[in-house]
Amino acid sequence: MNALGWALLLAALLAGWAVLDGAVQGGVPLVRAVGGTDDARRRTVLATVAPFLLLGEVWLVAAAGVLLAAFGHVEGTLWAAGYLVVVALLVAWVVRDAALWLRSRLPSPRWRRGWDVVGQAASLALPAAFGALAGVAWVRFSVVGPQADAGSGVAQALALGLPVLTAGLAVAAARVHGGLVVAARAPEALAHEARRRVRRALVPAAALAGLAALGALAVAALGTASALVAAVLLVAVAGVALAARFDLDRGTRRTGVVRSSGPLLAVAPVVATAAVVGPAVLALAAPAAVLHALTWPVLGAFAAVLAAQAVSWRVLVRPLGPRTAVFL
Amino acid sequence: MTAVDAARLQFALLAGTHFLFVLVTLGLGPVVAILQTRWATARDAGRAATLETATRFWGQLYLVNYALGIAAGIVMELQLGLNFPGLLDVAGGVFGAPLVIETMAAFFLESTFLGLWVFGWHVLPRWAHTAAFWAVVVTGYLSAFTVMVANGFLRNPVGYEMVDGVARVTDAAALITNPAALVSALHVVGACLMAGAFLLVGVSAWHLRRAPSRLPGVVAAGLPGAVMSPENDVWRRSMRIGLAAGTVGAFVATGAGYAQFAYLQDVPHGDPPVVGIAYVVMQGVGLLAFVVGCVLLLLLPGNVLFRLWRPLRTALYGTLTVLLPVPFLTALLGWAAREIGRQPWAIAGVLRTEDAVSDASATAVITSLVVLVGVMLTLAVVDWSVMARLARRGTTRLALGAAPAHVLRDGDDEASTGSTGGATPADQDQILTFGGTR
Repeated sequence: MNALGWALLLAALLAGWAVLDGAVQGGVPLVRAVGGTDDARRRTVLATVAPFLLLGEVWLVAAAGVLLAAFGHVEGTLWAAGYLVVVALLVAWVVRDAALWLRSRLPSPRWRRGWDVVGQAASLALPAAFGALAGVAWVRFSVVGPQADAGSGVAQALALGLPVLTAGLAVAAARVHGGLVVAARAPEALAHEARRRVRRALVPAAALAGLAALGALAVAALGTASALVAAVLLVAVAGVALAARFDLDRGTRRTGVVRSSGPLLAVAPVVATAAVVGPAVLALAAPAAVLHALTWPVLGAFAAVLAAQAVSWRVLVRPLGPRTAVFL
Repeated sequence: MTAVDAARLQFALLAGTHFLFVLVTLGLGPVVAILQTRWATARDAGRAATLETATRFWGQLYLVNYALGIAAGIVMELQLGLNFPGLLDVAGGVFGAPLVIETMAAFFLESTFLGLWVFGWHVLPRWAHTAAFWAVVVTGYLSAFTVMVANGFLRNPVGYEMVDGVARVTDAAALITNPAALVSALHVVGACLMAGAFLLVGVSAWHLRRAPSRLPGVVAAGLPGAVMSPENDVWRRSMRIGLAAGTVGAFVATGAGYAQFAYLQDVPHGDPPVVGIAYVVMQGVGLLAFVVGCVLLLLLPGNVLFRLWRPLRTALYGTLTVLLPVPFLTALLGWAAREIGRQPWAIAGVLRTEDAVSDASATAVITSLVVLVGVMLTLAVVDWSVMARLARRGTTRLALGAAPAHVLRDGDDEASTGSTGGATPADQDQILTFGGTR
């Protein structure tokens, strides 16, 4: 497999993480809002996203493994440029996991309510940190970084603004996506409230996607042509988000547009980033011999993982019922 | 503190924390798998119920431990790129290979199967559910082995060549059969089995020391003492498995430990004193655990162990509980000896640690040291205290493998859940049972 193949694998892993873990990132902040003060209701909301936790977060771990083996220089550059963002990502991730696993282990209401607040904060910080890191990648692996270093005012403004924009987009996207997952799996009494939250989040998500598209246009104008692709993608996703809001306002909630708006928004930051940074990242891939030697073990493993995950999704992802296992 | 010191201290503290969780994951995993297999194949209903309870109890402790283990592992994975990019620049082509296999093949599957095991509890057929956990155990061990291949390369670099200052794999088989990977992995497996066993034995002994050996009702009726409380049965079984696993673990850890000296002798420079102390402690703990384990195993036939003279038995149970942390502390010492013994090299004879660290400012590295280590250690301590609470609570009110309505009402008996969020009782029932009963 050549550098392009490895880059596509990396993008696929990140997109998988964005969709699967995005459900958790967006669902957990709804625990208090949708679940109210009743512990059983809160745990029901948690149960809707619980299966995505173990199945989802490994995609980012695997992506980090591919980054390390095939794009070590990319990792080095990105971590150096966004050192504290990476630390923030790790802290948010670890705290989110701890909050989810530990909150229901002890019966004390104070313990549980405390962890719910912590989990909510960490679940917002996690996509924010990931989105910001994606923005740092936009800057470092396009013409923006060198031009900002050279003193260009426009480039410096973009270097500051892009990570903020992509962070906001990732948070809004997770909110829509997670809310739709909760709405699809929870009993109707809770689903209704989750849908209300999704409806409210769709317009900000569309606006942030539009702004990110403008940012991508600016990057393209400065000289990285591949950012044009990102701009087009982001505009399309913004359109889908607005169409989904239109459908929800009409009361038709089972349309393809509504269903696909969550996953599309969730992968938007990843796909847009892949378009912007793709050419520069490909140029920094590991030597062909290294890539070639690892091809079959990694592709074989990926095939096995896809099979195992496909079986797991079939078993686990269905509306909550009497055979659902509640643990979180 | 320089950036190099901060980076090394950060790595040491985070890896040490991670290692403590790994010990339980790898040590308890096979035990839970065996308990569940025996539950799945049990013909007698009473025996099946006991084994189910044992599986759920130890499985729940396994999960609470795993939760933080996975988190600490994620932090570890990004540590290398964050603080030691030189390692990847020089040896990424060699060192990265086992790590990408670890994440793509081993850990990816491990986490997927664990998710299937926890959340597919009532959906999967019993055999598939049992197979899912065995898959978790196998991939977990594969994961540990690939990490040891990477670590073994640092200690004893083989199967590579340097081209323009960058290492390249020339012999993948040599990399895998490197004694610093193979023998050391066996040594670590022994240590993990010991740690899991001390947990099993310590917790079981704590409960056996407190529990009456016979049902109170049976005693009151003046009946002969053959009837045992079901919970007691769980602890006796756990104690038996723990003693067997611990003795095997001590044997493997000690044997593989001595075998490691074959390649450790090659390291040219003198070792700092802590390494020598660690060797002595490890030998002492390993041998003592093996001998005592053998003696206690000999007391198992006919349940002699559980029928010892009461003061002696109580003292024995108390001692076994107090000894619970010993393998964990010993393993930490052993890990420190391995890493310190390699210094000043990051890759023995190839790359010095000071040349591998990032050129991030000392302030940035110290900030991440304080933040990451602070968060990780706090969460670890909270996690261990929760595990201690769950271990003491015993087999009552287990969340793992319980019906949803039962789990969702778990707070009701101890803590009032307050208002029901304005829901009518019927509405509440519909939410609690997800619209049906099993």
